[in-house]
Amino acid sequence: MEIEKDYPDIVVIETLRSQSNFNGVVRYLYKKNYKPVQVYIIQNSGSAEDAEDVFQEVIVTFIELVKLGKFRGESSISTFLFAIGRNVWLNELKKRGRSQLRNEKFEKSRGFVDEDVSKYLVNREMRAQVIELLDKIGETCKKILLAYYYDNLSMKDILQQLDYENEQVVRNKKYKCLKQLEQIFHSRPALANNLKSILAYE
Amino acid sequence: MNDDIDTSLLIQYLDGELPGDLMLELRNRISDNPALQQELERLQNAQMAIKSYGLRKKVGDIHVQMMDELKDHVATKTPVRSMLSKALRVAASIIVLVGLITLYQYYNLSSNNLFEANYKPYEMHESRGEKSFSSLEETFKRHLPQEVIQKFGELQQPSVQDYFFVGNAYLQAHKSSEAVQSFLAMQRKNNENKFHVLEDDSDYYLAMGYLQNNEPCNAFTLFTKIKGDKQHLYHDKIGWLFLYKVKLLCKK
Repeated sequence: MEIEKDYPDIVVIETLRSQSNFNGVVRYLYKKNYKPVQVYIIQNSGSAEDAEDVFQEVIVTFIELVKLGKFRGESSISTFLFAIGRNVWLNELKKRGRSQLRNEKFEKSRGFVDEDVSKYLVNREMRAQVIELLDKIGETCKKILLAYYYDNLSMKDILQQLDYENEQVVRNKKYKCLKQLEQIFHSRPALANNLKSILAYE
Repeated sequence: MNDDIDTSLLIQYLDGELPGDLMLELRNRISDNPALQQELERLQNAQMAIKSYGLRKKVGDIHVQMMDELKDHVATKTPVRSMLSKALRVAASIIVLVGLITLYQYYNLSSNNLFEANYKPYEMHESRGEKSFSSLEETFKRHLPQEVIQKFGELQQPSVQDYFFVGNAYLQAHKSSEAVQSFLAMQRKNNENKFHVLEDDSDYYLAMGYLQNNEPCNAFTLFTKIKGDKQHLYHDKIGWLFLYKVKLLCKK
């Protein structure tokens, strides 16, 4: 295994915001923080697979919070990630109906980081529904929309990647794809109502 | 539902592509038009959903790699642990085995066994030139211990050498008590006359006599003296393991 660079917290935050060396920093977060979360979950009625799922959720949640400026650095990243992991797992246990005693114990021992984190946590199933929606718009639409809105590529770059005739064709395609997604939300008002609070951690 | 032109404007507005005057005009229309507000919100949600999806996809790709790596890391560590624990198990087995062998040897260790395993009868060396041997010595040389004992009994004034050879004859004849007495008598004679006849030989064979006579503590004292004296003729004949076994017998 290669030796991973050690990133100070401030560098992790800046890197996640700017997206430069995103992979390196995320790998670093995995190497540094996965084990404690895994141990906690396994020691609390979870499996290795549970730990893997939860940690992925932990990392995504953390990055989104950083990008939204909601991680204020009042605790170390490691402490914060562990607190997210603990909250996600206890919510999962609650859902499975096996955590009454453990949850009472946790509530008594929780610190300010846990309280800070718990308000950001949302229903994982709701998030999963959002992902399912994206799967409904087709691969081409996903590629264009991801290239433009996630990778921040220009129309010129997307044109080169996806081999369309010209930029206007790409632009029209992007318009149709986004409209298609908007229409899906229009047809599912209940989901749409919760979506903003889910994705904006509000 | 708003028309395609409005949707296009809303998207351009969200993407930051709308020129300043058009942007202001659209903002005014949005604030007065709930349908436009709702569509704008749904488009914002769509964009956020895409960003969230993109992030999950990217983290998901890294996640798969990292889980493999972290598992590999554990897997590559495991053989080391396994090899180490295997080596420890082997070492522990050897220790247990050695312990058992030692225990077995301890319980089976006896003065007589140790004597039989280590005793070599005294051999008379051939001398260059003429040398006269007494009748008893000649008999001893011919490995006839009983005859040596018999002849010794017939002697009126046995010499220091005679005591030594009869002592050895007693050892060969498994008459340990008599052997010890003969060697002690020989040493007394040496001391009385300030002789040093066969002095080192008598130390060794007296010690062997003690061993055969089941007096390991006396034997240990003598063997320790021989081992501690590098000039002693029998120094090299006493091994540490042999000495340890005699000590064990003494403590038994």
